[in-house]
Amino acid sequence: MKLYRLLSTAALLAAAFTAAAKDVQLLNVSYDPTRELYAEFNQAFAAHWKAQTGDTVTIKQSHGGSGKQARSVIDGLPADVVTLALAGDIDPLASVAKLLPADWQKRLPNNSAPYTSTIVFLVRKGNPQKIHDWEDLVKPGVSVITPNPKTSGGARWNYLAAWAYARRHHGGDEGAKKFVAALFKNVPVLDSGARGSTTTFVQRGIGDVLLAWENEAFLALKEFGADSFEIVVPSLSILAEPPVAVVDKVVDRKGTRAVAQAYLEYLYSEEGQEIAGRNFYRPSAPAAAAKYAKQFPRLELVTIESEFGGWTSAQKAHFADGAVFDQIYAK
Amino acid sequence: MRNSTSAFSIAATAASLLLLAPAASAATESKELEALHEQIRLLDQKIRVLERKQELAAEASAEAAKKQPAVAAGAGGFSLASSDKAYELKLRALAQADARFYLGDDGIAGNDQFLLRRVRAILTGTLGKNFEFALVPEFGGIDAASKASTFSVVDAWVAAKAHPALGVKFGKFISPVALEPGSDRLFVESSFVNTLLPNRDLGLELDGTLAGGLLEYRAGIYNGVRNNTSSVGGDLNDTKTFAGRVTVTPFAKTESFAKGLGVALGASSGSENGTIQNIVTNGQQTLASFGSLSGAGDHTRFSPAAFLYSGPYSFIAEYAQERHRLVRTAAPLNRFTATNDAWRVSSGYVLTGEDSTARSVTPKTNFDPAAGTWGAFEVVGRISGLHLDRRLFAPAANGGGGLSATTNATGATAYGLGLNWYLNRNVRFLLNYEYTDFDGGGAANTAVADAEQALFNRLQVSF
Repeated sequence: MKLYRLLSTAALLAAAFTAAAKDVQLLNVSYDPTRELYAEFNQAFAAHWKAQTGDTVTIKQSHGGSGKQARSVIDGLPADVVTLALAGDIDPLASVAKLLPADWQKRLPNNSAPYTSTIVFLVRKGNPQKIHDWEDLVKPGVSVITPNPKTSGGARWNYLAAWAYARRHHGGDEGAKKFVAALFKNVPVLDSGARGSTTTFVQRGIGDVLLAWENEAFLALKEFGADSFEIVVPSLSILAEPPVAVVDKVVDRKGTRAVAQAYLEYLYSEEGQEIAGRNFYRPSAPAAAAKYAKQFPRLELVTIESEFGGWTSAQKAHFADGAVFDQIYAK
Repeated sequence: MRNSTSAFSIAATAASLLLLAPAASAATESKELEALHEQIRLLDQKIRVLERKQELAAEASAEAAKKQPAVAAGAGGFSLASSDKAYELKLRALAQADARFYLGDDGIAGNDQFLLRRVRAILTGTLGKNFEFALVPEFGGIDAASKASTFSVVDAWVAAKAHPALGVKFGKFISPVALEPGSDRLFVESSFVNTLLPNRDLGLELDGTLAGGLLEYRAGIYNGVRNNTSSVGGDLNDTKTFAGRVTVTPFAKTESFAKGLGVALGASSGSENGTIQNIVTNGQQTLASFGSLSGAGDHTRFSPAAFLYSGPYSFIAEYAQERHRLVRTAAPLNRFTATNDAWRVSSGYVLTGEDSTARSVTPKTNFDPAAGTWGAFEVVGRISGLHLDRRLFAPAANGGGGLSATTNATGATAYGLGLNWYLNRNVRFLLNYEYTDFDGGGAANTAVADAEQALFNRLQVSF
């Protein structure tokens, strides 16, 4: 009888403590250039969640090269949500670490990509090297800044955009391989992430052209002024679809599934899309997309699916150990 | 004529050259300047690239260093931790070398002695952030009869804490009933209060803090252990003991003098059978031996306490009462419930001005004669008392316990003084004198033949 009373009291105490817990903490593991986007979005979501539930949610951010970030999550970084540069970085979380189901990309609209972006060139004011298209990047003496495709999602988009261009203008995949090899011969330093490459180009004054996320290029113009840099839009680029996902095993262990799910869904809300547009990401919702259409250049965009058969085959052919990038960069 | 034409041609050519030379020279210089500018630009780029590569290498090294395990050694012990502190192993130790002398005890042989009171290696750690463990072997135990060294495990537990308000602990650890189980912050040995309360027990406990840390609770179910002893590997019977403690420190978050003020209540309830632990004096000599009496059922204890640690001052008041159902194991087999109680009031003052805390005194300066620094000094005092139930000593024929009131004491009052010298954070020397006046007793060749005067010295090393 005494044991029963003790256990009952303990259970009641435990229930009371659980019910009283009003502070929630989420960890969003993201890629390099989303710092400003999520700094603004997190505040908006916290206010929304407080108004809706009364709970206080604090979102901690972790940023780095997308591939590197994915490896950290696989190695145990307890991310409630991942908002990475490409689906190919989230896939191993499902296939290798079994942290979320294989069909994770179908759980949110637009293949779980609430916003899109593309790759453009950032050059120094006056464009002294006369860089107008991908062709100009392989000229002798032109110094190109791009991060390392082995660690950076943005770098992989850069690489594949260049490949797609060269495939059209240099005789298919063989020509594209030579073209991309020549391009990487003009890369003097490989940063591990896109933000590092921006630092190399903008703050350290290295290179003639930065292959940049569109949002990162606009941000550089906004922060450092149009009198220092110019954006050059190439004739062709790639549609980058940075996806987001709840990390099931982590949220179930921490009991944060509801708030994590709501957090990602809020990216698709009117306010979430507005914030994405303000931070130079291309909104997916028609209203916000129309509102911000003027700030984005119109150009031909290929997709990863149509051009490379999806991330799994692109990863295997180009970025896996011993694949094309290793072959051309080792030379 | 030819000559004049030639001369004219030469002159014209020379004039042309003279006129054109500055323009050609300027063009050449401009090209050279441009080439120089380009060379400088390229050199500048090369230097910038080299610097950036160095910067990236340094960042990569710093990142890699963050992931390296951290090894630390210091006054707090030695530790090995993963970079995120989720996994940590700490090695600490405690060694107490005592010298005990009893003044005016002509009748007792062999009690003045040097001994290793405690020699413990303290291994604690964290597993996966929310799980902790401790393993504390004791190498300084002494077998009472043979005086031979013994080995035992003092603490061995695993704890999980997902929230400050709720944790769970399983294994062998200090019982929640007493304020200072098995030790005394100010004196070499514990007071009478601890002789009526358990030391360490084996069981399952819930614990946590509420109200932002102002209230701390512990509650659990345990094997049940004899007074002033540690549970062994298993239980002596099927019944279990419930025990708990609540400690409130209402001013802990203020900066007032009462910041270190607290009140606490510990209690236990269970059914405990078998041998009853002898009661000892503050000088660790037998005060009462229970002979043919044995535990036979309900055993409850409660112990309120109050404490204040304020600046150099410390003050502790503690009371304990136990009620234990007993039986005589020799005829007549009387059964009765004995109620024993004990109390103590302890106080200390750090002469050198350092703060006194529930754990220790950290000297402002370490003992270093060459530098003219001597550590910290604290004077301490304690008055404590014990009263044993008179039914223990009532004749067996009258339904009592039949214990001798001359070979045993029926109660005692002790007055202690001491000087504690903290040489540094790790080394301290304690000198205690304690006078104990007994009720009853008086039998020759017993510890209670006359008042006990114990002079205890301790050199303690801990890290």
